[in-house]
Amino acid sequence: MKISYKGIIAIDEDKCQGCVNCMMSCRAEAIRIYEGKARILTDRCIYCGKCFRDCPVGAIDAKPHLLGDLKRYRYTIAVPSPSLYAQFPVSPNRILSTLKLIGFDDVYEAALGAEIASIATQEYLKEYRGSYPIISSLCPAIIRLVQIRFPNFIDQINPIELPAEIMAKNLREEKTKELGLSKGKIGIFYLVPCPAKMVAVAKTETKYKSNLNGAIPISAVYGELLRTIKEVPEEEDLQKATGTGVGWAVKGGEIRELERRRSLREDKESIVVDGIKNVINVLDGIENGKLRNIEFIEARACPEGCVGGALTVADRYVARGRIRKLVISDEKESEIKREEVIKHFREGDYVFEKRLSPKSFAICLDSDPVKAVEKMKLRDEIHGSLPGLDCGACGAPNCRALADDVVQGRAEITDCIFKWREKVKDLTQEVTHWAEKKPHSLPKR
Amino acid sequence: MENRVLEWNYEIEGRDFRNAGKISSKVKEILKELGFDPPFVRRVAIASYEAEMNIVCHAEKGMLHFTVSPGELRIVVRDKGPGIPDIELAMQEGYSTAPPEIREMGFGAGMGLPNIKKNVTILNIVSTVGEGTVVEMIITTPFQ
Repeated sequence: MKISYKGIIAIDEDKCQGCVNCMMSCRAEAIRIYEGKARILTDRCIYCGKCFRDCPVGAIDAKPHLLGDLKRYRYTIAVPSPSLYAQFPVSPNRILSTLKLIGFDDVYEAALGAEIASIATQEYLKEYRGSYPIISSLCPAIIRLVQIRFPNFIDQINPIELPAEIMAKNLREEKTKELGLSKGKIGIFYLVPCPAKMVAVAKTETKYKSNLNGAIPISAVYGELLRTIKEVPEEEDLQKATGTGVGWAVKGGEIRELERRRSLREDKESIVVDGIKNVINVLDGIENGKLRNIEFIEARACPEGCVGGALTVADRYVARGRIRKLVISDEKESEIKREEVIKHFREGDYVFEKRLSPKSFAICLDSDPVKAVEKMKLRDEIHGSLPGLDCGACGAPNCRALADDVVQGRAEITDCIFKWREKVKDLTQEVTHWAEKKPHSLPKR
Repeated sequence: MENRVLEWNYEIEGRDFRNAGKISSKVKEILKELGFDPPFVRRVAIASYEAEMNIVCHAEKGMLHFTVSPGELRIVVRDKGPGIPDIELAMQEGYSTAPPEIREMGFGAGMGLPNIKKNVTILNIVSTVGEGTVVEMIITTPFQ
């Protein structure tokens, strides 16, 4: 049976062996093992998909929109993430042409949206007077990490929409006019490398409603693409994006363009950080004042950037190499008209419609401060009594997390096998003690 | 009342730059878990980091004592070290006694104590040259 979380992540309980691999690798401490199966604590999960990769039996996956969903629309458009170009050793044009053979009426690149997003970001940086650093908004897992663990930095997230959202908004307007169809008859689907982007579409928090009709994992169309890729009669010239936009698929791609355009300040530093643990360390250092003078952080949950996403197929290092080749060999001029983007940006386009809010409840022990203090006292006491092995056998990722779960009523102290053994030992001693007692009427042995 | 006070003790090693900042990170995590306001947590994090760094840069070793009680936080940082000969001078922005090799690494800009003062309600410093320094920071909390 499959258990679905937020309608996006699905754990196949028939496959799940209840081992601790996913739980131990989760940087958000969002997984517990309960009654022999992995369970997700959705208020802690950042939907990065690291557990998909780390599950040895492939029990964790995304619950995707299937290609069958396309039939509900009169006209369908694929908006692939540029990480799709790294999945096959063929030209982007060939891959994009194949998409039109497997069921999409048209194809527009998210990479083109990235070129718009970059110009909007450059304008935003120019006028920016708030606190530093500014945090890139491309990775929804990082946005959620900030909401949950670093609420201080929420207003420092670059408020520029996802490239695919920017594309979809423009496309829907253009295509309704061009085709004479109502807006609802056009289905725009984002081909994504990770579950975080699926959640960002399905449950967007930066706008009232997503401009996209759904998100389809790259892994869900990979097989179909692979089968069809050789059958492309003639490659269409569908790749309009330049290296600037395609480069967003790998870490460093976003900052590269900001550097090229000289829109980063000379007197500050800008950094690229990949991997959740590394991002947590960097944000922690900034919050303490240990890391200073940083202007922009391109933070990505996945190592190597989006090509390392859990819903991609190609090896992330090979994929990164392929994207780099595309970026280096590309000398085209962008077809995006800079002046127009700037004009639209000034009119309020491309920017978050809604302000992001913190989700600190996941870390906070109790909303009542007095109870929080009591729980912390108890938690620290329990933590101190645990063996500190962080073995995971109890079903929590480490001893502190078990202590947390006990005070929150999610677990019992005897879930710790060492604690349980102590109890058995105490009980045995007590039984022996009573067994040795005799009435005084009997002779002493 | 009594059982509503929480306290922690941490040791800080002088010259241990690799681990510098770990104690103030712990202080910060505790405050987040207790549900304090993000800007408030940030203020305390900065103040405790500066105090921790003072030990790492200047002293042999030290202790950070942290208590949370209704209405206030108290952080006392005590070190065995050179002491501060002129506290008033040390409180001035830009005044630094950090050795050149530490300054070159981007530390010791002379902002430590002024930065602490900006972020706490009460700051008390007692120092004996040649023995060490005690820095007491009291921060009034937003809730009772």
